[in-house]
Amino acid sequence: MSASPAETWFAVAPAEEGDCWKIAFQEHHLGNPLIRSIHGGVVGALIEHTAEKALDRALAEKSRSAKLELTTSSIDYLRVTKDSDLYARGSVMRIARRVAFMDVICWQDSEDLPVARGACTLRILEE
Amino acid sequence: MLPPSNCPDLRQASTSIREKRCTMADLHPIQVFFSSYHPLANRVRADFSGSAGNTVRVAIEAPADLVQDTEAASLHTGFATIVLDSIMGGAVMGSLEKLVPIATVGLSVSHLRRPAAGETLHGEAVCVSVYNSLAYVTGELRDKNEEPVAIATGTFMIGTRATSIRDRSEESRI
Repeated sequence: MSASPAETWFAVAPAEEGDCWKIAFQEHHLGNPLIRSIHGGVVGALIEHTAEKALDRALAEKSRSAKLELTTSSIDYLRVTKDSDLYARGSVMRIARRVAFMDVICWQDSEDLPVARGACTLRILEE
Repeated sequence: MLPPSNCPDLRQASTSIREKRCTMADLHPIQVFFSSYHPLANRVRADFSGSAGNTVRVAIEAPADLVQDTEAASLHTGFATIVLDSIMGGAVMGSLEKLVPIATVGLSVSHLRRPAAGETLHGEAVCVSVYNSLAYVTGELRDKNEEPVAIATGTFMIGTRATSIRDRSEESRI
């Protein structure tokens, strides 16, 4: 499946580890060019993207096919970012009939040093 | 380049050097942020007319670059998240007596619907309060019918370190 324009702009793709997603750093991801940190919105976008993809995978494992719409993301910015690749891993908190709750952790150097965490709520629209 | 087109004084200055010039100091901090030297901000078309002090207003065109659903031509939620984080940070900077580095601590966004590419959205962010070096901000994006597209609240730390993480001997944040 070809990447969407947004996936190309964000340079987001599955990481080598199957259940992670990665943003390959691009100059236009910078939020503060002086300290070369990544824009908080780009970090947020990766968290939202990962939540949706991780839920999609979890639903597929339950043989459920649904259109997903992220409704709310709540992000804590834990550490300053730098101009290098970003990684994120999503986990299911709960999948209900019409909504799901996902947790996402985002890091650069090491998963033990997260730069952000997110809690996302997604609407499940059964097809 | 956004600032000149948003600043009547700059347009006048371009026609006559005797007329009043608009300097970067006359611009709202959000207009400085969205100036041509910023690698992310200079990729979007935005008009910040009406921004003053703790309030940032923006009219921004949803860029085709950020389409996620190609059938519906609707954008990735990251677009609203980026715009809201930017204008909410601008509202914080506009509320400060002197510019100091700030950092987003927390951001909560509700995405009511996905905007379509080419659609013009109107955003407003207000820095509601600053207390104990934390700024509390609200933000929203609405469509041409004034219907909400995304709404947000955020907290920003004021007076963060202005050096790169590469220059620090120990990792830290906030």
